[in-house]
Amino acid sequence: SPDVRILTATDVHVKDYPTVAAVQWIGKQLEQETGGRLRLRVYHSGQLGRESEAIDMARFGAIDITRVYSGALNNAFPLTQALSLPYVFDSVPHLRAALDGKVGATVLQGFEKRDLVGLAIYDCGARSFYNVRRPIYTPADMHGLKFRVPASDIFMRMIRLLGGNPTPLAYGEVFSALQTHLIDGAENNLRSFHSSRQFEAAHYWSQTEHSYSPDVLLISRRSLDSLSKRDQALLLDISRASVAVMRKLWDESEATARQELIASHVRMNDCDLDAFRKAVAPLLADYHRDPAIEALYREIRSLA
Amino acid sequence: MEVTVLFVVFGVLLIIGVPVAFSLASAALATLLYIGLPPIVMVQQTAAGAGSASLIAIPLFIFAGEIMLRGGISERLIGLASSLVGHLRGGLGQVSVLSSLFFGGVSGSAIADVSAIGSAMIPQMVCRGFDRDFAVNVTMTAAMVALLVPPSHNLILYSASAGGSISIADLFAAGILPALLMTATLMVTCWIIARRRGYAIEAFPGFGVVLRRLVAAAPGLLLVAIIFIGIRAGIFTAVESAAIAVVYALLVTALVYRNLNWRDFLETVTGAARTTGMILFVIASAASFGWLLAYLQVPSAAVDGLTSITTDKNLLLLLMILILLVLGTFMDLAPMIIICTPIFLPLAKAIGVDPVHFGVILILKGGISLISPPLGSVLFVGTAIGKISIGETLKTIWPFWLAAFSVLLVVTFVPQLSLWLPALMK
Amino acid sequence: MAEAPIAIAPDVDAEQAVSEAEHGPRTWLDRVASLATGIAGTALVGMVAVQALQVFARYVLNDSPGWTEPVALLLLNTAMSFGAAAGVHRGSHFGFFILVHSAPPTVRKVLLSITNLVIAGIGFVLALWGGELLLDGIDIPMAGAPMPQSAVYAPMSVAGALMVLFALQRLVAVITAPAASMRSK
Ligand code: NA
Ligand code: NA
Repeated sequence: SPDVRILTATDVHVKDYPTVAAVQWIGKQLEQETGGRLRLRVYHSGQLGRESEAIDMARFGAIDITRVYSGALNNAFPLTQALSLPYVFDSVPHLRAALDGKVGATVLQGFEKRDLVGLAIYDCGARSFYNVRRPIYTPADMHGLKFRVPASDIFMRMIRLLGGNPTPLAYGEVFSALQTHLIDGAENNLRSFHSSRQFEAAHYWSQTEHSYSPDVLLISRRSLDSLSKRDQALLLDISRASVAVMRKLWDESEATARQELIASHVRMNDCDLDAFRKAVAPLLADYHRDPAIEALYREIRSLA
Repeated sequence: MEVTVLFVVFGVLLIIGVPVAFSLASAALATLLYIGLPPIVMVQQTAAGAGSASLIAIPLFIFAGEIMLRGGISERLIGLASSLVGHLRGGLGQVSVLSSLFFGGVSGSAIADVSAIGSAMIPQMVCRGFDRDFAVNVTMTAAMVALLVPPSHNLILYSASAGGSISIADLFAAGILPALLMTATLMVTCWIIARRRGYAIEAFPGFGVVLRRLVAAAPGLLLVAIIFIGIRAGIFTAVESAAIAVVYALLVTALVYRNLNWRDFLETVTGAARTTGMILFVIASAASFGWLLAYLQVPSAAVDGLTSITTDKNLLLLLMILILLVLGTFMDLAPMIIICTPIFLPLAKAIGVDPVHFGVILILKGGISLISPPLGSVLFVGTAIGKISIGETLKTIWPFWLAAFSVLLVVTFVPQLSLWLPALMK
Repeated sequence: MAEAPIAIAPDVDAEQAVSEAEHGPRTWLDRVASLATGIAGTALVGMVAVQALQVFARYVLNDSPGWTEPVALLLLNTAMSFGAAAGVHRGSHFGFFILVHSAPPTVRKVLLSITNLVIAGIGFVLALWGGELLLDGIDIPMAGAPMPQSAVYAPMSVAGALMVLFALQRLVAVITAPAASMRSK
């Protein structure tokens, strides 16, 4: 029927990943609430390209909705840097409190300047270091180890400050590089460490929890404007509601991943987080020169 | 209808003689306009198609190959090989196949493999009286072995596209026996064709000559050793090894063999740059075409059609391979894996195919797509290095293609071939 | 050897002859094409340098610079784009030319004209939207390297414009060529 509108959504994660499942949940709710008039078609597993490309595709109107990692947005949307900085969040409850309040709202609004509208922020746990050599307890244990970094200026500096040797490497090469000991380690959240199978090569997971930078769900300004006012409000409401759905799925899948990692004989250890905080302090000082990031940072810390 | 626009525009332009890259880009552009999507996506995806770090190995290995060729490293290497196996029928062809197996054990990429082995072997084989089409075809088909001997970044990509539930160690182990079977089959094929074409046999020159040639080839052998050990020991990546190969080949040629002047160097660079432009531009243009195949959900439509035809397990498996082969000829390998794995793996699991086994089938099939027209990247690299037209290659590639397809069938219907080693290693 | 044209396009020799007859041995466009090949070659050498430096920095300096990967990718795009543009000038892109080969001179003329128009069209699109994409991201810094995020579109855009020039040159050569020179060999 001519009244049916199908919105396209993309994600680089696989079909049963919590963010994909949450967006699929949004689609179901939309269809139900509009009697099938408004639907979502989800392209998962990176079928329509990488995250950096997806952002522009949404801006140009080639796709409508996309889910991307906020770390990939640091340079185009500087406000997201406040979320990516090391040790801004103390724990998952602290992170969620900030994202549910003024911090989350401010970051979501920041996307408007480049023709995007922030629909939701999906938190995806803490990122930690893992390596092929030894357990890491303090930054001193990182000395001399080569860690793969994603293309991010913040992470590059952070690893240098912690005493490691940052080694830029394409994500696809990480597994082989760990296996041949070209690099000693990398960093990611627990679930990706598990699903990338990198634990088959790197047996030491150290709970450094250095970054909590979350995922964001964005819609093209053009696409949103093309909907009726009622549909716009509906989509925004359902998207907000999907955060709770995603969190539940995330917590469950992270717990499963942790169990499977332990069963696969990955050695996990806790770390001296204060020592890590102290080591990266100079990095924070730099970013505090930007008043907008500084304000967000203060807001986040006030909730700690 | 959108799919029709995509394929018809591509097909018509290709037939009337528009180069492959421009036919792909035009088909993508026409389809985007027809659907009403912003056509700027075509340009964006073309840039993205050339935006993958692993592609850097292609021009660098071609560059290294040109230097080795011009400076005499290849000639001495093949001279040595020829004195060892020249008395066997089609001996150099066998060398090419075995080199691919060996090199594939570090590069992980069929295109890097054909760039590296091909630029060293093909011109030398032609010098020694082999037909150009034979030299090119042997080298191209042998390159697909690289996909299956570990390490294979395509198997890693498959594991990731499947959501990470499949062990990469299992996949690596599973690829070994099929890779060896493919190697053996291609060597036999090579021998049969060499016999039929009556390629001359060289007399064994005696151990004195072999020893002298060994000394002459030592710098070349050292390069092979540096690459192999360097990657295996984690000193550099496969991509970095290509740059190391260029630097080393330049040093040996300029300082040891004293065989490369400034003019030669410029010509080498020019030749490598031209080949790079042609090959990478096809790969880049194919990205926008692949984007539309995914956007229009062609693979899922194919699976839907498939399951409506039959429920017989073996027939489904066979049809699935055929569909993947056809899709694979219109997509490059990495996008094919990313786009098709989430759609075809669930069906494979449903009919009882082990995901590890399916991974091996998918990658092996991908290898055959790489040497199939109209869009096989290995076909482009091989013919560009071999300085031969695709048409001439295709006239005589079929015995190799059939041999590879038979191996694919055996691997598909004898799951133990893939699953025995991973089970043994547990 | 590197100078020998890769005999993939059937019309290379015919058109080269036409081009030489019409414009003299080397037109300014031929020089532009040589320049494009030179840029592609320089990018290739640059890629070797960057990759080698990456290994050197990792072991000798024990600190890897963050700019090597983005710069290597920019150089890859440069080598591809300018190499592809030069490929248009030489008529050396991959294709299937059986029909063009077997067609009578008049049909051949038409087919070659269409081909060069299509190439010019794609070149125009790359130049135009490549430029737009370049400007669109010009004020966003790239992660790891001090250049704009959209820098990769610069070589593609310039090379697209060169493709238009080279394809139009070939088009003119095809249209003005006497029928005899269009005969397939
Ligand atoms: Na391999
Ligand atoms: Na293909």
